[in-house]
Amino acid sequence: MRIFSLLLLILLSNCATYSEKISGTYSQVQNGDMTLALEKINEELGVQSSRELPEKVNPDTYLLLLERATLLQSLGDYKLSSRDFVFVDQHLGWFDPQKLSAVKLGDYLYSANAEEYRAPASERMLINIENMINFLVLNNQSAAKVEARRFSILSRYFLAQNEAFRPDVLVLGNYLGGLSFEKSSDFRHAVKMYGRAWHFGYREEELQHRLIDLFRVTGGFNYTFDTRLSGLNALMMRAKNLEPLSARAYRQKYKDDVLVIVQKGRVGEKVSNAITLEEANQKSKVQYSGKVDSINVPDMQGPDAGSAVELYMGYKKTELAYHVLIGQEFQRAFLTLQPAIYSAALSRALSRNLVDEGARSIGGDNSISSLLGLTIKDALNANDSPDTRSWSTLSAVISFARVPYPSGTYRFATSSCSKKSESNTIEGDFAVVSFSKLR
Amino acid sequence: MKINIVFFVLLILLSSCGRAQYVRDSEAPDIDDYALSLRFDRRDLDRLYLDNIDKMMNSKIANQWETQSGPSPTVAIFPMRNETSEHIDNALETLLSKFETDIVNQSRADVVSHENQVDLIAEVRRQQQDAYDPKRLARYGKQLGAQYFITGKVFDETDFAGDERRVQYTMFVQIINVETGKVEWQNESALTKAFLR
Repeated sequence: MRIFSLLLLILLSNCATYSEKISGTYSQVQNGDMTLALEKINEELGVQSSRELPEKVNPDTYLLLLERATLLQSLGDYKLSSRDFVFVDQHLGWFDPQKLSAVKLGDYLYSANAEEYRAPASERMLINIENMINFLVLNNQSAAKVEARRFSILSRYFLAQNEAFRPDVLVLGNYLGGLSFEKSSDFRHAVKMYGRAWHFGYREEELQHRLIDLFRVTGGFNYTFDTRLSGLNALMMRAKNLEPLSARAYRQKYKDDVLVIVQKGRVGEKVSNAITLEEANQKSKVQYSGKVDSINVPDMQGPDAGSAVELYMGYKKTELAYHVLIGQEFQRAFLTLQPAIYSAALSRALSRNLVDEGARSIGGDNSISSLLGLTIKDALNANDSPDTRSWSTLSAVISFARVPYPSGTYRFATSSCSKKSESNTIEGDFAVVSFSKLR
Repeated sequence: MKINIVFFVLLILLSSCGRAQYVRDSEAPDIDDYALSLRFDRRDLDRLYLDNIDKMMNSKIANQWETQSGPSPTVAIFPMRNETSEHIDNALETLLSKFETDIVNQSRADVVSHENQVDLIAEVRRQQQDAYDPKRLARYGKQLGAQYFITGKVFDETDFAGDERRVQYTMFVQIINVETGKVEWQNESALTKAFLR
């Protein structure tokens, strides 16, 4: 029996965690070795190349595909990246702590990769945002509009669930959605999404002019929120005092610009931290008692925002107008979950302690039962470690700027303080240029 | 007995490594019966095809093609507009190809192969992404030497309830007269797909 229990322990300890599986990729991404990182991810997916989708799906598959899609995007393979994002988007659920019981919440937070990965709300919406970037770079407006609609549906759902939900990704997603519809001359949807981007916090002059002109084209829009809060109603009033604008005139006025998107740094990693019962009680705001030395809890490290990035269009330095701090947002969302996390951690630790004590009492006070008790405790510890999975190759900061772009060929370049640089040439009728190699 | 319970729990914990896998239709004959996503699969396409093709082939305009004297009418097939929140463009292409097959094989009409008109169809596709303008499309039809073109559009309504999702599709297939821009025939089909827990 002792041999059997030891065998079980060995089997348990052979299941490497997600973080262990892809640990090497973090430094490769930071060093700019995206190709090496990609090879590692493909190895974990059990495929020969990024052209293949995995034949077997395990609880980590969708997360690994998210990592691969991110790396492919940074390598400029937007087509394969979009395929992976679309695939994940079809299958990946979201993590909604408010809808979960304490036991189920514990299962997700302590599943140690046994449960299928579920993305928190902001992360879930970023799938559509990243894919909008892919399709806009590919100049596939039809697919970009599909992603915009998906983003819109999902964000409306999350907002309806939680009125206090105001992540910065709402600005980026709505702005990119507005652009997707604007480039297709679907001005009703463009004004709807640009208006939301304004409402949620992007108040740059270029959007102000654009919105006023779009109101002149469309005659206004009935938003579902209070437009007075963000001054959107004032823009509509200004448009009403101006002459209506034809769709053709609008297209002519705004045809020569391009959206530059720069992604840099890396979001914080999730880690496992051991804390005392006292600390856990303090943070969970619930008082538990029992024979527990320490408790393993999931935690999130701070994001690595990366070096400062400068953007050049030809030789002219261009300012990035808005910065979406994804890493900070993820950390903030994680912190709001902390009381629930600690509460789940405490109840699991105490019930685990009861199992341990039960096992010790089975065979009385002899050496075999002591060893069995230790073995079971270790095995339970091994399988009850916090789930530290997260979309770890995602950039910590996404910045963007809408810059004038008269027809022609241009070279955009970003360079960071760490003397790394990335360049990108565009020509023709492209709406978006993306940089995401600098981490 | 208590030890057995503890080991049973451990075995359940162990069984969590690795699960589903992909299969071929030869290994699982009923593979096409399951809905695996909210997008269109072969069963959905067959249903939409059946809902449209008989009505199209028995329409007034299709009957006119059969009975009119003189040269056979020329029909162009233009991409359908995807106004949904699902990536169904490829499925819509397949559906149009199924219509094309029947028009070629079962009617007097000549079909302009859009595969030989890559640039023009790319332009049509680009225009389809823009605000819909049948007159502009009619101009492209003329360039192809077509008297009619077949196209369509799909819309959806998506709802969430927790993790459950429902997409209600509405598809419109049209035959448009190139010369006049008149919609000679139109059919509406509805299809709902859902993800239920």
